[in-house]
Amino acid sequence: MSAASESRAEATKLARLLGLDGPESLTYVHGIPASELRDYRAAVTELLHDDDQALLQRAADAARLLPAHTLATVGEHALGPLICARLTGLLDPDRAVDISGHFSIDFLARLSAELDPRRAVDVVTSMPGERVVEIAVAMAAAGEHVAMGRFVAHLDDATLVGCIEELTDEDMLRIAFVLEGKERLDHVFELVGLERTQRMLKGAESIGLSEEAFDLRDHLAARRHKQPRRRTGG
Amino acid sequence: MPRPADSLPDPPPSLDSERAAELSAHTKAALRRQRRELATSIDKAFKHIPWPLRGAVRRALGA
Repeated sequence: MSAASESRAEATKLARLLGLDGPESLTYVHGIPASELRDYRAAVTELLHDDDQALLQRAADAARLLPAHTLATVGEHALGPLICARLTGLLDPDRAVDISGHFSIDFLARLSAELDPRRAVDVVTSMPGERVVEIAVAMAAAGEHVAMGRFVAHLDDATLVGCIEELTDEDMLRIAFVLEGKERLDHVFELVGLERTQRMLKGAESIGLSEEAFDLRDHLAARRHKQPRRRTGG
Repeated sequence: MPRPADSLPDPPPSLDSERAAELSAHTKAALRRQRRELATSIDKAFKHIPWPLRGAVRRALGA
C-alpha cells in the first residue's frame, strides 16, 4: 500500500470516529504518516470509550434489573446507538446477545457502526451468523464501510461467506481499503474467489474506486510474493 | 477525580500547530457530543421503564 493511500485510509477512519463527513473533512491530514494517524485514532478511541466509564458501568449493572425486551425498547427509543454501543462491552455477553435479538436490524446496524468490536468480542462472536449478514447489508447501505472493516477479524468463515455473497463489489473494495488487520485480506479474498476478485478489480475504475483497487491489488500481490513457492509436479 | 477527557491526546507530531488545534477541536466536539447524548438518553430511558422498577433502577444508577 502506498504511503498516500495508507494515510487516506487512516484519515477516513479518523473522520468516522470523530463523526465528520468523510475523509474530505480531514484533507489536511492526508500527508501525515499513517502511523501517526493510527496512534492518534487509538488514543481518541480510548478517550471516548473510557469517558464516563463509571456511569456506563452503573447503567450496565442497572440493566440486570430489567427484562431483555424492556432493555431493547429503552436502548432503541431512549439510549440510542452510540450509548448502546458503549454499554455492549459492559454487559454479560449472553445477555447482550439476548437483548440484541429484540432490536431492529436498522438499529443494530447503527449500533454496530459505533461499536469497537475488540471491546465486545464475545458478543460479536456469539451473534447468529444470519443476523450478522443482515446487519452487514444494512451497514453497507448506510455507507458504514469503515465500521465494517473493524468486524472482519472477528467473524468466522461461514459468516464472512454469507456477507461476501450479499455485499456488492463496491462494498468489498471500500471495506478492503479500510480493513483493520490487513493481514486478513488474503484469506477474505480467497473466500471471495479469483473470478470475482478479478471482476472487482477490473470494474473499480468505472465506480471511482481506482485507489482502492490499486491498494488491494498491491496488497494481494505483495503477500503472494512473500509466500514460499509451492512445489509442483511429482 | 478528573475525567480522562480533560486531557485530550496529543495530535500527530507532523501536523502544524494550526491544524493540530483544528483536529483537537474536532476531538473535543466528539467528546462533548457523546457526553450530551449520555446525559439526555439516561433521562429519556426512565420513560420506558415500568414504574414499579424505576426506583430500583434509579438507585442502581445512583441518580
